Amino acid sequence: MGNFVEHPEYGTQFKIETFEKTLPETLEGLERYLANSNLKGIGPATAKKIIKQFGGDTIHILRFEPEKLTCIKGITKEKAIEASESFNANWEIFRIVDYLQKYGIGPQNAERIYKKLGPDTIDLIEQNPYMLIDLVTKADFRQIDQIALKLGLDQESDKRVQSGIKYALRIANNNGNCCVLYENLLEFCHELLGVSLELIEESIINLKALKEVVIEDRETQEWVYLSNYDQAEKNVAENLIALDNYKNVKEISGFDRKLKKIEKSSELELSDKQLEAIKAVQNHNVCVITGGPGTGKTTIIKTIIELYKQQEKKVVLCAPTGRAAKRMTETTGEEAKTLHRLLEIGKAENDQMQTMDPNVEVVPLDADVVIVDEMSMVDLFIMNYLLQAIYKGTKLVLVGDSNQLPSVGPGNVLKDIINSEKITVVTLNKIFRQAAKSKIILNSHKVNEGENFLIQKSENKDELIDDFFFISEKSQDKILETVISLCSGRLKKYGNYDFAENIQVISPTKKGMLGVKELNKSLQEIINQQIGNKKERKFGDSIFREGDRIMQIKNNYDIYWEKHEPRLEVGKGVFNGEYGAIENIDETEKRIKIKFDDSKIVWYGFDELEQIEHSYCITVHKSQRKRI
Amino acid sequence: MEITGEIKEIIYRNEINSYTIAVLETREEETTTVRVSSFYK
Repeated sequence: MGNFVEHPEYGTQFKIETFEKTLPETLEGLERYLANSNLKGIGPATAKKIIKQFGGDTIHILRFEPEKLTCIKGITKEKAIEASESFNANWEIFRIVDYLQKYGIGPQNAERIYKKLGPDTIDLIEQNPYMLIDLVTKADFRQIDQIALKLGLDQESDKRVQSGIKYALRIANNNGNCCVLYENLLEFCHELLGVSLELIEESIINLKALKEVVIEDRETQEWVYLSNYDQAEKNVAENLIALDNYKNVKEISGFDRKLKKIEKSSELELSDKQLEAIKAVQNHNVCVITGGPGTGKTTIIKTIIELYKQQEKKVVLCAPTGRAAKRMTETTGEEAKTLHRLLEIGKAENDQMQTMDPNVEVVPLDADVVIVDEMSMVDLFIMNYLLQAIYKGTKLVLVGDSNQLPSVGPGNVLKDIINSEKITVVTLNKIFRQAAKSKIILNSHKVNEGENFLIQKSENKDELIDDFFFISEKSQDKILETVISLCSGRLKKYGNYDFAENIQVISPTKKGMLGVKELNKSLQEIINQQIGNKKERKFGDSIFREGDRIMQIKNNYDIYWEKHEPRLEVGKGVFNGEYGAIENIDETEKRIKIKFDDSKIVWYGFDELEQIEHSYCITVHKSQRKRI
Repeated sequence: MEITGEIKEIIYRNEINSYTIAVLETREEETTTVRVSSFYK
């Protein structure tokens, strides 16, 4: 069912609203269907033979009497059963995909649900639609609830109330929280479900008895966790303590002498705090090194690498994002990997990690020292997997700025470790000479200390670089106007502020007039206007245009790239947070050519554009991964 | 409006949201159809 619509470019199309899959009406059609449906063991030749043998009975044979297929040469009993199962599964999945649409659940989840529930999927969901809340991480409770109530399920049923509670906890998890205050949970569920507070409290107790939630008393307050989040937190805490308490087997003998030798040979003069940090690594199995920009974290990492490498110890470097790993590689000269890649869990899906699916196995790390940079971006589940992969006795050094925003994923791991006071923490607070000239760096420290900004004219101009301006404005229209004027030339009197090379707009939010989406549209129209017939490609709400600045927004380990400068080089992988520009849009080959800032050239098919976004403006979160 | 036919060709399919453009061969003619869903598996 649907309607004919007129597409401005492609003419008349039939826009489908609902559909029903029917079997092919002719034997030729059925043969084509069997040959092209990816049924195990059935290709075009076998499909022909089956149709020839069974004609109009083919469907019945495939569904209910597959053993009869063995009369065809080349089809064994095993192959026949496999083909039948595959046929039935194909058929069922199709029905389920259609059925689940009304619950707002897409095809990828439908296939996964079928794998879990099997052939009775639809019956099971009809009996209890709320089970979808457990099966799909981002299921919409309200949509499911509406249908379930129409099906006649009781508003006060245990199933409904318990699902509402779990849904509420999942929303909190999706927002980066591991647990919720008991009172807040009650209030939210009361509004969501329209049932009494007593009933909600009773259901929370039942969920606790079922070990689906955990209630933790902390001081005077009660916090509620989904049990996998509680388990992950406990695992992280226990494993960290066990690792730290283990014998210090990687201690370097003659440490002071060897450190001095490195200082001398590399012509470094380490500050007291930097020395304290390096000594903390020597004396403890686990330690945290934290500090803001310009406080010398990279120098410490480089010295630790040098120190342990001289003892023929293996130092493994890693970071939570591709961009951070790449920067770590560049600044240290040693290979750093993303945590996903290091642990070989790159292909694991988020909900597999969050349910701590036993199928997600990490690779034990062959290392004497593991250094994690940009630790503030490591979430609870990645930390859990990292600690599972580390042998007792290995040294773990966690480096980051605890004042940065917490990870997008659940938890605030770095800050929680520091606040626990169970692990050695060295806080770097001295800003080094070069960095101390920058008002940006000085102001970032002032914000952390709750002080006012330094603004121009208030300090000795000779000492400080004019790199920080504060423009006070309340009207959204005027702010937009100011941002655009700054980006389109007003900054030029301060230096070479070419937009592509030297300007990055940052917004705290994605939505709204001053959010990333709208600012990108406004900036695109100013910075990269449609002039001279630049080719474009629409994707979702965005229009990608030749010349546009873009950013990769997910890790793609398999995409092919080539570099033509400084020498020809080829490889695989583009990572979340890499930036580049669209060089060419090829309508014939249906692909877009992007040149990344490190000269990698990558072609994206028109169906792969969900991997990129405009980057004229980025979120504060994304900017934490970028060194501007 | 209801039309019935056989999928002859899938012109485009977005793996993420399953937006699909296909040619449907009906008894009378070939029609281009569009839909978001796992329409064609």
